[in-house]
Amino acid sequence: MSNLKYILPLCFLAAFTFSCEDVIDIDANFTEAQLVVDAFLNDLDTTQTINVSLSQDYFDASVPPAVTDAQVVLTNVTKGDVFAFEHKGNGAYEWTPTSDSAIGEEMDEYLLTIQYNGFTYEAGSQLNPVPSVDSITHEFREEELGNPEGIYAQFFARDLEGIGNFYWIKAFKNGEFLNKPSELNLSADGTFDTGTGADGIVFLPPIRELINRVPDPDTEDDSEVPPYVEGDQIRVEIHSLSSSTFRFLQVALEQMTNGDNGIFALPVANSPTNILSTDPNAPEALGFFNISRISSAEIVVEE
Amino acid sequence: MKTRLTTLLMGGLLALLLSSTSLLAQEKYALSGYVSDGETGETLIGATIYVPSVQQGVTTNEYGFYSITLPEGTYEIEYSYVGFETILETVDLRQRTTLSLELGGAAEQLEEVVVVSQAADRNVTDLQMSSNSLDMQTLKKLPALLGEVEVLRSIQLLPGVSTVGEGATGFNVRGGSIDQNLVLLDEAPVYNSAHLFGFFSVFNPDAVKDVELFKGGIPARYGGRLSSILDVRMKEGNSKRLTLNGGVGLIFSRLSVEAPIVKDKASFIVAGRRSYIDVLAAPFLNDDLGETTLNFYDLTLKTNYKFNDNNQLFLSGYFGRDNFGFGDQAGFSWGNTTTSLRWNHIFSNKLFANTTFYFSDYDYSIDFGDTAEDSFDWTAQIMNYSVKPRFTYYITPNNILRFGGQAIRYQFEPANAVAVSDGEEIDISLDKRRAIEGGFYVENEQTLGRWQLNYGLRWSYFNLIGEGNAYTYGDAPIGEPRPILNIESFASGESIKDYANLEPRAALRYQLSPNNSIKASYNRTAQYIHLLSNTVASTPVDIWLPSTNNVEPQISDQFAIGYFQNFKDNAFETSIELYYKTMEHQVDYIDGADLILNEFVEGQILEGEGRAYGLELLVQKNKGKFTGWVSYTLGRSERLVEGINNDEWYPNRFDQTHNLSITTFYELNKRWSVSAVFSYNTGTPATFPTSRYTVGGYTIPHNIGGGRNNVRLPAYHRLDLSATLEGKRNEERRWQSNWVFSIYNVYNRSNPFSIYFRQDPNRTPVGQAVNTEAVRFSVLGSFIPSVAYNFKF
Repeated sequence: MSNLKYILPLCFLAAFTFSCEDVIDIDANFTEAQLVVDAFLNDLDTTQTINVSLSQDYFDASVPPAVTDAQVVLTNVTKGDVFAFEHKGNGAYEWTPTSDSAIGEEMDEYLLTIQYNGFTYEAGSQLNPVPSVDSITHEFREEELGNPEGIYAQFFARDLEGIGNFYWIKAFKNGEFLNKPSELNLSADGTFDTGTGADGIVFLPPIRELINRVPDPDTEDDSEVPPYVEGDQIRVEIHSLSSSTFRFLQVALEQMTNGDNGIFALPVANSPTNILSTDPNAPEALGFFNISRISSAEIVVEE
Repeated sequence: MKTRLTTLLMGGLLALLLSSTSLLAQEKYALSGYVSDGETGETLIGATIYVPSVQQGVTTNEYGFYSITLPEGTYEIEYSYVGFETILETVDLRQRTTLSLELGGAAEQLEEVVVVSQAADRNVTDLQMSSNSLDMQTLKKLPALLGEVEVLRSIQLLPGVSTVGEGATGFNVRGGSIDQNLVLLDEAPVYNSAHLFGFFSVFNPDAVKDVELFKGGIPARYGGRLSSILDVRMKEGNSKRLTLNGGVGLIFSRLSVEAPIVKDKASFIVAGRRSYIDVLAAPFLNDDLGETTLNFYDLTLKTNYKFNDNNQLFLSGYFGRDNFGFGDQAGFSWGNTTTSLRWNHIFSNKLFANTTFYFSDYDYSIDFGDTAEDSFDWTAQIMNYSVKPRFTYYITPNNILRFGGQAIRYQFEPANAVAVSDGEEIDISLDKRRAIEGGFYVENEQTLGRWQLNYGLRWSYFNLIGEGNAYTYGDAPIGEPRPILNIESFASGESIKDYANLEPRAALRYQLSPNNSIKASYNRTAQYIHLLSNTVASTPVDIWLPSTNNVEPQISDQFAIGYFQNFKDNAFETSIELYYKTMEHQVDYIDGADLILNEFVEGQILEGEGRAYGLELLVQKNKGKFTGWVSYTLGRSERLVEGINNDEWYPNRFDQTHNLSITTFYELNKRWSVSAVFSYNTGTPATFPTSRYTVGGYTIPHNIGGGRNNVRLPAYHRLDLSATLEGKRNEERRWQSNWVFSIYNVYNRSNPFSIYFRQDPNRTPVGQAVNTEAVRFSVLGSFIPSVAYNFKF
């Protein structure tokens, strides 16, 4: 239950103000660039993009090197349809549905095949169902626990029946995706993780409320600015995930935000990929393939 | 199998008893009694009773009792204890004789600092190796963080004891994890020994009488944990007169009251502490944290009643709690409760028995939200009751037989949790689990000329019982959660899974001369309960898991050998020890494991093996104005777990190659004394990412090769100083006081607890490359002065 991750370091910080943090220079010992497949697709009637790139030195703050010579093919295994993705530049491979070629239906099985440097990589996913976003609400809150007074939003949705439904909730403020690691919002059966036995519940409050932006620590007065003001547009999307995608994103989330855990940091771990080569001699790839159904809702904050 | 083992054990015990009875055929009588401090009436643990004419001696046990059997005759007997004047008694031994003595009396105690020994030559002559005891008077002179005298931080100045970093709960002994230490407070186990995470321990220094740590050569009478026993014993309470002890520091204020109830028959001690950082910090906290609650307190009490020379009862209790609150949005609290009732009974003056009944509980609660629509409440608990009879049979001064047993009833409540979401209540509680742990032991301590031996056997048994479930898991690729295949329910009292282990223990000492000896030991230990923790420092919400059909008991074998030498009439004590330890069925976890509120947690556990080895060096100076000790450990602690570090051995997160501490005291004059402590250790291992990659707009760290703990943090070192100013001594006045001034981290070093990696915490527009950086995190990154005032009345 990852909401504990918020309370423990908070207690710790409140208790001890002698701690300090400095940015330091070290060498990452980066030795080899690995193939990275970023394939988060959906069944919407829009252009689907798969990004293929290479991993880079941890401290290399540039745009990742693009892979421009891969062959990218998606197969709807259930229906037997094959969709070839075309390279459109900068490692972006695209396919656009037409009136006579739709990606498929709920519960269809998919196989992504990528050929790169003479090796073939494959990944599977299923088009899982998604619950609707029932509503987005907002309210005015007084200043509390370091949060400035102002407008705070939450969304309401109910987990689908049956144990083992996984979701990625994306929030957009005035069209801009809230993209910080600390804003990455995942849910298993409406809770934070598996194994609770909860099913069919209204998403738990901390998940509902993680559509409010996390302020920048170094931008002056940013923490004095409430998440939303009148006139803001709020969009919430729920993307269905497979259980392995949930695990991939959750390990990534834990690792990206591990510094916030202070003395309770988790062991450093690699996110488990589903991009696997058919050839045991192939270099290991990174990244993930998932195909989602998406539900969404949108409001404009009014008085 | 089980019954055969029991029969075997009982048979062996009987045979030993019978063989020793035959020795009684000669005309021998036992002299027995208690040795106590004449000023306070506190019994003295480890006082020496020595008979020069026959060159034989014994020491008092943990209740201050001794018994020595000698042929009929008249003897000069020396009763001694470091810091007290030795008393010579002439005893005419014609029958069984009881002689209880008080040492010191009103006479002023010798100005001497006891570092880690009670008898002057105990370092060399005592059979027990790999053990240290700490004197509370010494401990109180150490420089203390924020002026608070700390038992658990102080034992980290001993060889073989380390910690993963400042603020971390618990301690690591000879490469063992923190849950492998059995921390006993008056015989009751304490499941979380920390206040305020790991900064302070639950032990109130005013109520503690004696602390003993066993790191190896663990005698058969102790069991249940793999790596060490920390035996903390509380004061009985002054049986002579009313005494007040107290202190005001920056974190706590303390007060204890001790007094006789019936003089020399019954006494009590009540000691309390409360933190007031919340009170002190309030003006400095900005509005953000203005609504926070933050406090911790504990209450320790103990009383005893001596019915007659042969029967004495002790009742001890501890209650402590840490509370955190954030307005009415969130609350978090944890604490321990222990109660132990002990009955000392002397059957004959050769057979001493103590029976302990205890209750121990650790629990925590977390709540979020205060509205009827949305809230979350979670409590968790580990609770146990136990009975522990122990017998010591003083056959001859050269032969002491100990036997006894223990039975423990556990109840594990990993989660009683209810979430309310949008007005709907969701019960996400986990089933309680119940277990019984039992054991029998017999050990024989024998002196044969220059040899002294202690050999023993412990038989331990664990049974996970209903009502509860047994989970069966299928196979999964290494590193993935194992899928649940079947859940089988068991009725109340039904056995779900049981385990038994035979734990042989042996120790020997060979005295080369009065000033030096060689000691060696072997012990096997078994541990049936496991703390599930995958964070660097253990958190207060970590849960204890019993051994189940999926999680086997941990087993350890340890060998140790050492050379012990004293110099200059015991003014200097030195020792060097080597140890090698293997550990089976160590608990580890898959990446991204979810250890709490997870019914299927056992499917996320990986099992591995561990090994630890090292060299420990201790040099201490006990006499003179300048005293202190140097402790050095060269060690390695590693694990091999399928699915971690490419199935190769890797160092534990708390592994430190070198660990050095220098602790010194200097008496400037009657009123001023100063102390300095320097600590150095190799940086702990860590894992750093090598690369990063971008998926879904996120920049994810990656470690090529997937190694674990393959780089080291920079070394840790720190100097602390303190000065103690005693109030003016006035014999007329009972009020005594002192001031302790301390500086922690004198040269203001930012010792890293960890180095972590993050992307720029400020927002990077979608599509742009993010900056990633390494951050050094120091828990106590600055120098911290403090002052404390202590008084005694």
